[in-house]
Amino acid sequence: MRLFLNYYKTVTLINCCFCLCVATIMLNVIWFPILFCTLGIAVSMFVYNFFFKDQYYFYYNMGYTKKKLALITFGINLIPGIVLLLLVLILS
Amino acid sequence: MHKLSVTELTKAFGTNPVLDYAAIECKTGEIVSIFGRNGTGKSTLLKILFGTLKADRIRLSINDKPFVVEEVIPQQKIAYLPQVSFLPKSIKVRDVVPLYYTSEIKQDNILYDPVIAKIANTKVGSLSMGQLRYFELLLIGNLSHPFLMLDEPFSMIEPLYRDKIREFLFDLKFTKGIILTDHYYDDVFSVADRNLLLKNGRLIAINNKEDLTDHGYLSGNTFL
Repeated sequence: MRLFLNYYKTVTLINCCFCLCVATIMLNVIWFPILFCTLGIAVSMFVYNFFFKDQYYFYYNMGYTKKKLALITFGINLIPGIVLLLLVLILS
Repeated sequence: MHKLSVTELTKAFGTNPVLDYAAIECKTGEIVSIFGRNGTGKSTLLKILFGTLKADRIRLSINDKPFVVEEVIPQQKIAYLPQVSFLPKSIKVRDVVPLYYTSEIKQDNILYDPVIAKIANTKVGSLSMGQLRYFELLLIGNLSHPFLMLDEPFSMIEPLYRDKIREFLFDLKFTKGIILTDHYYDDVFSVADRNLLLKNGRLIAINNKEDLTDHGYLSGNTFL
């Protein structure tokens, strides 16, 4: 799990930057939680693949395929994504 | 004792066939080497066996039972050292090891290695080529995967570390089956039990340097 968290930290940082940019451009904070657990994951994985492609072997050797990394990331992001979305909806 | 067997391995890039019904076998206690000129498909072959590249056709079996290539990574059957460095550059050596090994004994095996102990506080990105390659090899070589594939472990490495890598492979082969590719044929001949040459998509058995010359891998002047 420590190994996965190492991947998750990088991907989530990229994801947050992407979501923040879109929310700022759209002038609506609701885009942040929506993208955080959907398109943001795909975008952050694409960026990771572009800049750190070779580092996937670090995870492959421990049994993590790209698909497994994406699914766990999606699973983890879903909970804070939904909580944030509900918070934004309640506050607005 | 584990046995990996591959037959009917075929791969083409567009109209260019790279592997043409190639076959290879590797058992625990054995180091099998693959020579081949650049672009003949050595790395392609390793990537296909590891499951990161799709073959046009392949028949893989492990311990005489058919095995799906896509399951090699999830079931951790083969550890793979790619040609390129795969470690995150911003992490210190001593912090990388616990990401792979939870057992303190296993961590100590690596961190108390005389070479690694000296570089434990160094960031991966600051290691020399030899230090990095040796560390990567130690990291994946100590995993419990029954097979290990190494893509050019000796290339561009200073002699001191080439010796260290050879020693490590000698010790490791008693518990694993190892397939490696490299152009440093002296180093390869000194560790390998069987040698193969990848030529025209097929793997040919090689016994000595003269065979490499006869098959056009080495020029006739190489021994002068």
